[in-house]
Amino acid sequence: MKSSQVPFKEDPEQIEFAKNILISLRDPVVVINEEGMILAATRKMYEVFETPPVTLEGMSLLSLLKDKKECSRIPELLETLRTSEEAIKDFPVLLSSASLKRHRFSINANRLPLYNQKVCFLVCFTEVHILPDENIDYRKLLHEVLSEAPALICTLRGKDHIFELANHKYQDLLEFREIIGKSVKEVLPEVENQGFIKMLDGVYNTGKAFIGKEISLDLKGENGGKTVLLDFVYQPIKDAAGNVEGIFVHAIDVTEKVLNRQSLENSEKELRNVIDTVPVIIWITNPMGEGSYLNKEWFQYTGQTRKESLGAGWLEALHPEDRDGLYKKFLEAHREQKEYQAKFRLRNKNGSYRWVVDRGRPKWTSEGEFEGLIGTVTDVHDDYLKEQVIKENEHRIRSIVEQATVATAVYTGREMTIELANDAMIDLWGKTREVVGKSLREALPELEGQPFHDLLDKVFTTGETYWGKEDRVDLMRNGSLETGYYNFTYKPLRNEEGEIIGILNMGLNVTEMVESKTLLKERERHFKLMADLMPGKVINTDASGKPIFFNQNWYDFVGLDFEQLKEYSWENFIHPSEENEVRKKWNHSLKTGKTFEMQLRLRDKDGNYLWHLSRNEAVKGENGEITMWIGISTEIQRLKEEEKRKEDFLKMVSHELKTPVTSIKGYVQLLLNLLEKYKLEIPGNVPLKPSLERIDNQIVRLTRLIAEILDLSRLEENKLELKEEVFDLNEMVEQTIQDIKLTNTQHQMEIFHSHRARVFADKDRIGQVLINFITNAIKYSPDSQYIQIHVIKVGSDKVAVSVRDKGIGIDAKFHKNIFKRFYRIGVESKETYSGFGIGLYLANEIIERHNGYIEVKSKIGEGSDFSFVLLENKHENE
Amino acid sequence: MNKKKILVVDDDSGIGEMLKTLLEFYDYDVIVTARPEETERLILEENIDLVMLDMLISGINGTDVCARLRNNPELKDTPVLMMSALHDAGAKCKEAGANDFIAKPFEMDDLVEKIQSILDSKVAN
Repeated sequence: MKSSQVPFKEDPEQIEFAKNILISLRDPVVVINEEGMILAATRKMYEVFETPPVTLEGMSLLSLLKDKKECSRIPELLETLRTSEEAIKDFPVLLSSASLKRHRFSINANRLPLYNQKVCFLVCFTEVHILPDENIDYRKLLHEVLSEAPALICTLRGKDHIFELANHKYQDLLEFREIIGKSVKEVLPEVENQGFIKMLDGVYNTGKAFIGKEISLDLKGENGGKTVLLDFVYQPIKDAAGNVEGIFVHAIDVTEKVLNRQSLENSEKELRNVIDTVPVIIWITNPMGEGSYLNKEWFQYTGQTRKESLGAGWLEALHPEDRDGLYKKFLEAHREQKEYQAKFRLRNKNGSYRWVVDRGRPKWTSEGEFEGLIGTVTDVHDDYLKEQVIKENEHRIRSIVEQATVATAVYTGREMTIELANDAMIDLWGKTREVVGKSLREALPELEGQPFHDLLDKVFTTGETYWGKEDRVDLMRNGSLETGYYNFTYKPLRNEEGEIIGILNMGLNVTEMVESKTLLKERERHFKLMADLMPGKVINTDASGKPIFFNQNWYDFVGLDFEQLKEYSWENFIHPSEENEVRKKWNHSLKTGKTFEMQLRLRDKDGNYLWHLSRNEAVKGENGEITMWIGISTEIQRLKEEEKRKEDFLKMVSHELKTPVTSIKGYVQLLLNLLEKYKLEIPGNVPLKPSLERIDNQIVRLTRLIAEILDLSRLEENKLELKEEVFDLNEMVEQTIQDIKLTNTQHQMEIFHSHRARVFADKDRIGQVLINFITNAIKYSPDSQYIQIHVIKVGSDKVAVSVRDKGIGIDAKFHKNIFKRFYRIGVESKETYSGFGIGLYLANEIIERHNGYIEVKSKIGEGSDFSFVLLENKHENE
Repeated sequence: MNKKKILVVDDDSGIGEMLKTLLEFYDYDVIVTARPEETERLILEENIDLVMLDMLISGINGTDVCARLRNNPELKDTPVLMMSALHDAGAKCKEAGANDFIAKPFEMDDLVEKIQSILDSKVAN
């Protein structure tokens, strides 16, 4: 070492320090001067360049590196260092060491200025890579590589397959067997029968490689041996001439892989078996949504063949209406890689469509890649139908409730939340739809203090339905508290477990009914009061005549209560003389609906018979049917007595008046006869005969007046009482005419019975009418003595008696008036027609009371035809 | 031919007198009584051919008298002509057994005709 040339001589301590630093660097570093002489080097430098530690200093760097190959760039490097002020960075050089290694170095160099204007350079070698050198021993390298390779490698030489080389792995496989230099047969006697030797022979002889896959190799060992599965290649090794020298064996132990795969396959197979045996349709698709798998159940269910189900073939088994929608949804699930659920109709093998639910979930690989969907199809047909029915029922019930005119609401929970209320109920409450969802207390605060909350709670807790009948409810309607009456139910609603979950409330507003009932009761009370206050005896019977009501007067009169009176029958209080007639008439009325009217005597509680006027009137329904009878009996005892007295008096008067008249008439007629007989000559012009005749006529008039007074008085008293009976009308006419003939011999009366009839009537009164007609006929026929009486049939059930004269006749304009009371026709005749003018009035009255009528046909100068018409009596036994 | 004898039973003496005068003018023998209870005795004693009986004789009903005669075997065939101021009493009288009836006041001709007719029919029987 030439220490004098060391630039640090000025300060030896510093130089020493710098040297120590340099030496301790781990990279190969040298310090050189401008001439390229090495001034110092690191230990690594010695190592890398395999030089003794003392020889480097003073050596030229170039000469050091010249020993190595590829140092061609070093002079360039040194030149650059000398000329360039700049540091050199990453200057690549390729150097080879004494060993087989080729080293690529990256050189970094820096210029270090020294105190004496000189410079030195710090050159640092950084090893970048080691590349095999052309001079490397390949066999050794190969050995190393093979030794470390994960595969089983060996080379066999010669036709006996002598192990020339084997790597660790291969050695490990054969454990402690000595192999190098031995033949395969020697090393592995057990494989002879496994065909390996044959394979090796084949390769050696043919020069063609052999590839074995998953070939099992059974090895015997101290611990019982083992079986390995190998993938291997037997590659022939040829010399330059192409002759086979040996075989290169490269094998990979795939035992574990195969076992893994097999167990995977087995478990997959098992899974498939499971999948195929479960009674659920399972499907698996690929990411595109194409069916990659369908389990047996699908084919059993749909009857499709595997071929038919391929691709989108499975869609054919869906209901045509559901197909498109489902497929769209299905593809969407694949596209978006998300869960999917659908309900559709699937055709089973019998050709009927059943509702199924299809659920799919995305399937991911362990790397998180989307693999498609896996899903199940479940038959829910029966459940679905049930559900549909339930839904439909619920819907139907709901709509029935909604549309029902009966107010309906459903409350749930003990707090009575209004779950449902139809319009009728909302209307009944006088609220709006907003109350739905609220509790009843909240919705109808006015119910506070009324019994309904308690009732509802009781129904809720006991489960017993409450029926409200005409219950009073005060509701806030239209801003004011309205009182109404309602029929309603609180019916508990139970869930499937039988627990009460709510209450069904149905209500009907019966306010009007209740009010009208009240009104009716009030009216009934009024009626009863009125009936009781009436002086008459009021009876109310049903259509058949059975009594349903008597007023107080009846009870007071007979001294019995309602039950007794009903039992005893009011008819038993009638005087025996009238009883038959009453029964007859009353039955007739019940049958025909005609008003019953009669004077009769009723027995009071003391046994006295008192005269009553009884009138029973039928109350008829809308269609004219009799619904009941109302009868009033008024006591007319005093009136009757009064009348009797009056009639007696009038009879007496009339009788008494007629007596002197009879005498007078007798004498007048005697005188007239005497005049006639003896032809007495009266001196002078004394008109004796005409005067007597005048007197005679006036007596006739007086007689009629007297008779009419009696009738008139009877009429005025409204005492024209009918004593009706069934009699032979023809006979009656016959007899009456006979009577008239007794007092009238001048007129010729002829009867024509063209019809024979019986009537239910008052015989005397009808006779009186006939007499009236005949009297009139006589009276107004001064010049004709011929009168005809006809009995004729009218219609199907009536009979007429007609009286025809050839008298003066009546002008048609007077026909109506002649039946008026006191009406008399003014006749321009010297003849005076006597009478009060009540005859026809009376006749008309009588006939009308019999429900008959009178007809007049008459012309001036041609005579008159008066007839009365009565109903024929065809019920012979009345 | 003997004069026919007529018994007039009427409580009114005016009528009785009038009828006596009148019928005597027509050549009948006439006996008048105002007491109906004498009727039977007079018929028997006086050999009466016809009885003129008023319907109401001071409270006694003429029809009763007539019925009584009809029920008397000795007198049942006695002709009876009843009379009354009640013009509609004819039926009742005939019911009681009277041969005929005439209403008061009567036409003289009618009366004589009725009497004669009853007497004629009696003769015929």
